[in-house]
Amino acid sequence: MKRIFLIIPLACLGLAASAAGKMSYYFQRAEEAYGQEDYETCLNYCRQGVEDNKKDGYCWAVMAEIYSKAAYGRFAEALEAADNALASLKKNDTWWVAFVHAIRGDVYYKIADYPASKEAYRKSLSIKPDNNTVIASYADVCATMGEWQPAAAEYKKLLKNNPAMAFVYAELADCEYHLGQIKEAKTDCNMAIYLSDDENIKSHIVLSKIALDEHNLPLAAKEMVRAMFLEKGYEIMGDTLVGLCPELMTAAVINEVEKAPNDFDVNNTAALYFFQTADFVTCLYYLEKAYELQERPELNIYKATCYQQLDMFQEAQQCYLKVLEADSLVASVYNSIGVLQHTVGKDEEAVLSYKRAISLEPDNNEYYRMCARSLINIDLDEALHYMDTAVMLSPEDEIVTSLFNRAEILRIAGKESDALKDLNDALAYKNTVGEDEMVYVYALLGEREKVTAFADSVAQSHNTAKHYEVELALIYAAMRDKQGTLKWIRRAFDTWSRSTALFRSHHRLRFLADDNDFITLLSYGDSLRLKEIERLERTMLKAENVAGATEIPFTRQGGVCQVKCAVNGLPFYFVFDTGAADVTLSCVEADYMLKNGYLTDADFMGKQNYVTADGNIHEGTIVNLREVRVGDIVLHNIKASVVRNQNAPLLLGQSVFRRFGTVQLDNSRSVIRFVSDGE
Amino acid sequence: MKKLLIILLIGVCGALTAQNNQSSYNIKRALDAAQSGNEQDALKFLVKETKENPTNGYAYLFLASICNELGYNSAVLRFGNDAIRYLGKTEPNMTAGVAEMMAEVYLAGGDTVRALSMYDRCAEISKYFKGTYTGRAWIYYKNGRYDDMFAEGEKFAKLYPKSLIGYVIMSDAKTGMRRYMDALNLADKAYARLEKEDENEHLVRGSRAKALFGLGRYEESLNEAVRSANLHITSSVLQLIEDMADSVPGPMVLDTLQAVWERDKQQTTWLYVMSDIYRSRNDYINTALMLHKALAIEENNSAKESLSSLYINYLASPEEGERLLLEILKTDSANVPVYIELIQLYHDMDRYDDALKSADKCMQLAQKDKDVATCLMLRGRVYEYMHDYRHAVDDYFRYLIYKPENHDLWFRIGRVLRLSGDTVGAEKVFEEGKRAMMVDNGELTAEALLELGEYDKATEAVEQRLQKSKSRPSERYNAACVYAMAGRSSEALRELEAAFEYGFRNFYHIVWDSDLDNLRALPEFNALVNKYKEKAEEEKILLRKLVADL
Repeated sequence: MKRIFLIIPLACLGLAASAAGKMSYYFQRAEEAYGQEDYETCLNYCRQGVEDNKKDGYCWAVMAEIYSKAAYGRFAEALEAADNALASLKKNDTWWVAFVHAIRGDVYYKIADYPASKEAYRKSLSIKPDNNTVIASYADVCATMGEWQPAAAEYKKLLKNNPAMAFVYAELADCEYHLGQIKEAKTDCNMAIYLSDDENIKSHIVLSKIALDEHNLPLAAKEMVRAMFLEKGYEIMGDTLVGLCPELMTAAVINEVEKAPNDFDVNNTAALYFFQTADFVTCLYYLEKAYELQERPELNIYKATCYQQLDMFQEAQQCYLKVLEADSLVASVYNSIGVLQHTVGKDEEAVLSYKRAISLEPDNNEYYRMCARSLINIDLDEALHYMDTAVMLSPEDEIVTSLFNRAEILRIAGKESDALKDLNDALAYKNTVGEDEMVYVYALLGEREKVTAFADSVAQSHNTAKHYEVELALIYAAMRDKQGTLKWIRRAFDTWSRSTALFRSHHRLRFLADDNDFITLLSYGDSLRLKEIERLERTMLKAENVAGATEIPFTRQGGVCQVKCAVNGLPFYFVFDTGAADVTLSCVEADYMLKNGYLTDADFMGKQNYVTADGNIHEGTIVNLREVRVGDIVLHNIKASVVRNQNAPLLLGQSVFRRFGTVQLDNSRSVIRFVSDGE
Repeated sequence: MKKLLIILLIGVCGALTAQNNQSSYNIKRALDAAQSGNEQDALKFLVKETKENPTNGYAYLFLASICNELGYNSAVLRFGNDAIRYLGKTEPNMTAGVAEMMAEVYLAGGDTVRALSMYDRCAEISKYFKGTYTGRAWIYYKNGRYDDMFAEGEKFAKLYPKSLIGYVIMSDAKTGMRRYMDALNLADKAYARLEKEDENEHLVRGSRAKALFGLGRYEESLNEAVRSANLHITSSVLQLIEDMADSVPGPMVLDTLQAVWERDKQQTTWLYVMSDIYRSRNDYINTALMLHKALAIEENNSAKESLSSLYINYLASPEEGERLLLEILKTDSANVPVYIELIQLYHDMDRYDDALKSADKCMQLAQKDKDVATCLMLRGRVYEYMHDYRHAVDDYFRYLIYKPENHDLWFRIGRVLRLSGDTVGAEKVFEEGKRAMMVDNGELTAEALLELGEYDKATEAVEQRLQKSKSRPSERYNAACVYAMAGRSSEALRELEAAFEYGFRNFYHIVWDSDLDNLRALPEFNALVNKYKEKAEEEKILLRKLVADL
C-alpha cells in the first residue's frame, strides 16, 4: 500500500500547542526550523527544549516525528522520544497523544513489528477516530498481517467519508479478493481505475490475480502488463505469467506500446520487459526508440548488455564508451568493459579496466573479484591477492560468492587445503544466503546430490527470468561433469542464450576445449546467434526504413537488365521486368529450392493462370517467397509464379516493385534505385 | 450544462437567503465566472473559498457541480461528500442533487451498489427529491429487478399523485414482469395525467406501446410507438418497433412506417428503421433502397458504411462497396470503421498489399480498444492467408489480449501454428483453448471441435446453434463450412444454398475460403454458385433501376 506517513503542518502543531498554552521558546524555534526543512536544527532545538524541561512533551513529539522519517532511520530513538512524549503530555491533550501513538505505529511498521504497529494505531484511533491517515495506516497493517476482514472494514470506513480516494478502492479490492468476495473486488478495482483515470497500479494487479485464478490468461496478462507500464518497471511482475504464457505477455506489451509509441517511458518499460525475458533483439529495438526520444546515457548500458549477449562486442564497447563520454567517472562501466575484454580473451586489457574501476570505487569487492578472474591466466599470485581483498571487502550478502571464487583460484594454484577452508567458511552462511549462491559451494565440494536438487528445481520452475541455465552449466563445469555441462548449455541455447563467447572463454570450461560434442554444441549456438543477428538487422532496418532506399547494380545481357537478389537466402540473377505481374521462377530453381529446404510444402499456394509477353496463357504454380532481399532492403512474403519451363528466365516483376514507392533506372551509373515506403 | 445553471441559480437564491454568509466574495466571483462559461476560474475561486472557510458547504456544492460538468469524477465524489456533510438538510434540494450526481458517477464506474446507497442518501436528505426514485427505478430496470422498480414508481406516485412519471415507472415495471394488462392500465393512468404540451408525453406513449405489444395489439402498439418517436426518439421505442416487425409477419409495420415517412419525407429516422427491418427479413434490395433514399436527403457516413457492407456481402458488388468506402474517406480520412471494412474487402478480393496498407492505417488511427482488436483480427487473417504465420499468430495473440472472452481464437492460433510446423506449440494452444472454453462456457463450440478433429460433435454443435438462428445467412454459411470440413458434403451444400437463399452474395469470400475446399471439386458446388451468381446479377439490375427511379 502506498504508505501515507504523517506529515504535520507545523502550523497545526503550533496552533495546537498554542491553544494548550504550552508553546515553549525552544519548541517555537524548532517549529521555525521545521518550516524551513532544516531538520537538524529543528532537532537541536527540540533537544535543548527537553534538556531545559524534561516534561516538554511537544518537543519530544517532534523529535519522535523527525526520527521516524525514513531518511534518518533512527527508529529506536524515535520510539524512545515517543515514549517520553506520552509520559509528558497531558491525557486531555488528545490531538498530541493521538499523534504520538500514530508515530509509534509508523515506526513499528517500518521495523516490521506489525502487531505493535497495529496496537499503536488502534490507540491513536481510540482517541481520534476520524483521522483518515491513521485509519488508512491501521487498515494497511491489518492487511499486511493478513487480517483481511478488519482491514476491509477500515477501508470501507475511510470510503464513507472520502469516496474519492481511488487507492482505497484498490486496497479494499485486495482485501475482498483475499476474502473470496470476487464480484465486489472487481467492482472496486474498476472504481479505482475509473476514479484515477487508470493510474492506479494495484487495481490492475488485483484484477490480474483474479483473472489468473479464473484461468483467464489473456486477461491476467493484460492487467499485469498494464500494471507494469504504470509502474514503469518490470519488478512488479511475477515470473509466473511470463512462464505460463510468454506469447500473451509479449502481445500485451506490444499493445501497450502501440497506444503511446512516442512515449519515452513506454518504450523504456517495453525494453526492460524484453531484457528480462532475454529477447535482446526486441529490447535493443525499444532501447533505440527510447534513446531517440530522450538521449539518456544509462540506456547505453542496457544496449551494451544486449549486444554482449549477442557476442557483438564492438557494438557493446561503443555503447560503454558513449556512457563514459557523458561521465568518465562511472566505475561500473569500466568494470563492464573489463568483463567484455575478458570474454574476448583480452585479459591484460581487462585487468587495466578493472583497475580503473577500482581506483574510482576502491571499496567494491566485485571489481577485485573480476580482476582476479582475469589475472588467473597472467599472474596467479596477483590473482589471489586481489581475491583476498575481495573477500575482505565483501558484505555479508556477497561473502559466499567471494569465498568460492577464491577457493577456485586456490585450487588452481594447488592450495587445496586453503580452498577447502574457504568452502567450509562459506557453508557457515548457508542459512542466510540463497540456494543459488550456495550451489557453487556444493559443486566445488563435490556434493552432487545438492547440485542435482537445485538443477531439478530450476528445470521445473517457471523462473525463466533468472536464467539459471548458464549458471548451472558453469556449476557442472566446476565439477568437471561433461554431461551436465553440455545439457545446461544446450538448454540455455534452446531457451534464451545466444552467446557462445562466454562458454569459449570461461576458465571452467577449458576441460572441454577439444571435446567434439562441446564444439558441435557451440556451433549450434553460433547458428542461433547468427539468426538472431539477422533478426536484429531486419528489426533495425524496419525501424529505419520509413524512407529506406537502396541501389543495386545491374548488368545488361542480351538487351535485358539483370539484377542480383537473394530469395530465402539463395542468390539469383533476375531479369528486371516491369511488365511482369509477379516474380517468376522456372521449375528448375523451384525444384532446387524445394530439395534443399529453401522452399517448403507450406510455401505452395495453389495454381494460377498467367499471360506471357506473346499473349499465350499458361498455368503456373503460385509460391510464397518468405524473404526477398533487394540490396539492403528485405521484403517478406512475395508471391511468385513457378513456370513449367526449364528455360524460363527468372523475372523480377510487380509483386516486388509495388512494395516500393519509387523505382528508378540510372543508365549512366548502371544502378537501379529502389525507394521503400516501409514494409 | 443545464443542470449546472439550475444549481447555480438556485445557489444564488440560496446564497441570498441562507443564514451563513454565503454571498462571500469568492463565491460571487465563482458564480460570475461560471455564468461567463469560465469554469476554471470558477473552480479557483471556489477552492480558495474552501481554504478560507473550510465548512462552507456551498463552495463544495458548486465545486461538485462544476466538476460534474467537466467530467472530473473523483472530484465530484470528494466535493459532493463535503457538500452533503456541511449543508445537509439546510438546502435539501441542492444537496440531494449533488447526491444524485455522485450516484451517477458510481454508476458510470460500474458500481451499482454504491449508486443505490447514494440514492438512499438522497432520500434521507429529501424524501421529495424526484431523482431518488427515478434513479433507483432506472437501476432496478437495468438489472431486471422489476418488483423493486414498481415499488419506486409507487412511492413516486404517492408523493406526486398528479405526476405521470410514477405511473410510467410502474407501467414499465409491469411490462418487465409480463403483466401487460396491469401495465396498460397504469399507462392509461399516466395518460390521464398528461397535460397539454407535456414534455413527458413520449414516455407515456412509449409505455402504452410496450404494454399493447405485450398484449398482441400490434396495430395500436405501433401507432403509439410512432407517436412517441415523433415527439422524442428513444432507442427503446425504435427497438420496440423493430421487435414488432419480427413478431408480426406481413407488411403492416412497414406499410405504417412508409405512410409515416410519406407525411414528412425529411425525417430520415423512419428510413433507417425500415432498412433495419428489411435487413432482419433478409430483403437486402429494399434495405439498400431505404439507405439510398436516406442518403438522397442527407449526407450520412454511417449510412454509407451500411450500404457498402450490403453491396459487398449481399449484393455481389464489392467494387461499389469499395467506391462508397473511399468516398467516406475523402471527407473523413480518419474513419477507422471504414478502414476495417476495407481490410476485409481487400482480403476477400485477394489484394493483400492493399489490405495490409489499410490495416496499418487503421492501427495508426484506432483509438478505441474494440477497433484495434478488430483490425488485429483482420490483419492476422490477411497474414495467415499470405502464409506469414508468424505475424498472423502475433496479431491473433494481441487480439486475444483485447478480447480474452474470444476462446475460439485459441483454436485458430493452434491451426496456424500447426500449418507453420509448430505442432508442439499448437497442442499447447489447443489445450489452453479447451480449458478456457470449458471454464467459461462449459462446452466447446463447433469451430473448436473441428480443430480438435471431433467432426461429429462439431456438426452436432452447429445443428444446435442453427436452431436459434436459421434465417441468418452468416450462420448458414458458417454451418456450411463446418459440414464441409467434416466431410459431409450434402449437408454442406444444403447449408450453402440456405445461406444464398437468405441473401449471402459474397462470392469473393467463397473463392478463397479454404473451409469449403472439400466441396470445390463437386459439380453441384459450382452449379450452385453459378446459379446464385446469375441471381445476383438480376438483383443488381433491379436495384440499379430502383435507385435510378428515386
